Amino acid sequence: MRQEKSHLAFLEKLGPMLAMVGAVIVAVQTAWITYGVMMRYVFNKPDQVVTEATALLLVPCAFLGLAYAMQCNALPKVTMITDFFPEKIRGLLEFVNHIIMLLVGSFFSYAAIAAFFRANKTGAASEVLSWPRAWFWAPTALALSVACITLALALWMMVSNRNAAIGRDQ
Amino acid sequence: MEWYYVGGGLLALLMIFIALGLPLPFALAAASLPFLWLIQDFNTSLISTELKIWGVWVDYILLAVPLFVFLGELIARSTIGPNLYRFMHQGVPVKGSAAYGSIGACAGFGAVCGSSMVGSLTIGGVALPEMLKLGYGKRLSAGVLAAGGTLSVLIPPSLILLFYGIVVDISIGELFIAGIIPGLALTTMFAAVVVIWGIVSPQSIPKVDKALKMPLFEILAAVLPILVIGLVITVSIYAGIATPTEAAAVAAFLTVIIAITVGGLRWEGLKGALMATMRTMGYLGLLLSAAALFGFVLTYHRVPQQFTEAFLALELAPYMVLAMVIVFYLIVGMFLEPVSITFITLPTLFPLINSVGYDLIWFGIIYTITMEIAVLTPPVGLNLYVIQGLAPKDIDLKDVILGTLPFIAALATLIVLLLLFPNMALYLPSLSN
Repeated sequence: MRQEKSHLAFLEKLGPMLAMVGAVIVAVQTAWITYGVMMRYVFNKPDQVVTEATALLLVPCAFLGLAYAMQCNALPKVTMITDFFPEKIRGLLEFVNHIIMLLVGSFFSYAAIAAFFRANKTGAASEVLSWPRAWFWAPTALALSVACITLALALWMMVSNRNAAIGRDQ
Repeated sequence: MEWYYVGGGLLALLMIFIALGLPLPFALAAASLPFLWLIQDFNTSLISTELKIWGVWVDYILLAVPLFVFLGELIARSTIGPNLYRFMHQGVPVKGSAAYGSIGACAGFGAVCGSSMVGSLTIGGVALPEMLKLGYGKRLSAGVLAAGGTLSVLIPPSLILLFYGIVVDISIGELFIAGIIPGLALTTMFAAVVVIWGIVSPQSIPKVDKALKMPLFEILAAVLPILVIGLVITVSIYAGIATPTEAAAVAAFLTVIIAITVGGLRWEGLKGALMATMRTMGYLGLLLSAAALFGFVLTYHRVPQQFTEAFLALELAPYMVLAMVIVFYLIVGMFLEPVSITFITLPTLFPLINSVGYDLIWFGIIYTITMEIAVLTPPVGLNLYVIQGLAPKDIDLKDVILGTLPFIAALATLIVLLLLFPNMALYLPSLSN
């Protein structure tokens, strides 16, 4: 039981951990672009790398916060219709929504994992710097997979809470 | 399959998912995928998704989004916003100075932040209790702050204008510049609303604001950061010194330094700003990728082109088409938030606007104003809920909604003014060209 709890706690920390990695990327992008502008105007030596490098970093950055955003309930949704439903139906809808989210998330995750292996195999690289695309697909695939794990965990919690409630009623 | 089946089917499925309470990025993806699988097998759809994700996100222009979000979050977590508000009204011997100060602070905040919600939250958090304490009417206080936040999306930098520029593929810099005069006009109109409110309902505004004057150092600490950051963004873009992305990065870097030195920002605040940026990016990452798939399915079936041709076949006058589009956005804005509206509807509608002869930069400003109205109209008016969340218990949602109505009228008047005088939006971009 204790081991199960520590596993759950670890899985719940994955979202914020990845978001922190993304936060570091945002900080690096901010500093790097500022440095690029300074080099161009102050030292008249334009940085040849900054534009493509920071744009490439945006790919993982766009997804590293997904699991964290879901954990913070920060994804916008319209609940004005479901608010009228009885609690039981709302619970059922939430369950169905989580399944749909898991299916969609799994598709994107699978696409990103497949993209990583394809890029790794073919050696596909960026246009100017020739940086391997796989470098950027790896964190993207990881972020999307963690988002799926977060969703699966939420689903599992919903089911186990319901079973516990039924157990208490009996 | 006929284009109208695809367009109608996609829209119907999307509406069902949204109505069921599915988060918008997932709803958009869940609606698109079945139609994608109608035209591609599973393995090809994986490659399409890979290409779309890569194509959307390896984009230097789009990089401005996290940087502007970061900039807004930094200011929200420092004392720069509250200081600006205090400067705008303290010691100003004018009846209603706290209300005008709120509008001025929101406009000033808008010059450094592109999000309407962050604007309302930051200025509202400090101005709402202050206005209520000074004896301002609860509807005026709530209305002025909910509406004031919308100035952030018209005065550059603006996230909505940024997204609009990306979808429509026009110059972000020109769009930002085009927003300056309408933004200033709107600020003036909001102030005029307060004047009229004071005449119609004198009890809503106290005779004298009993607030202390600010010392000179505090005045400088309040005004200089906003002035410097705002000028860095606007001048660098306007003069062609930097791209919007570079302007955003330099402004964010500068804000970190200013916020730490004079804005009271500490490590926790900096970390909070970065994490909040990632929270927003987490939502945008999937939303834009799903929107790219949605757009791919629509484009494959030539839905935007066919829709435009079908609409043009009706031979409606251009202003009728524009009126219908504006009404459509006002209605949709009641139910969806602006970023989702931009990525769901604009790819289909902007070719229509273009083909009836309207300038897309000018329409961008009109579109942004409709999105400002969207965040003020229930049931999904984000700013209404932000202010209600900040307000004491005796201010309910009805008060906030009623308080914003005169300001919505001002926004509608601005649309009319832009229709009558398009140069309000087009003059500055024409100068910069």
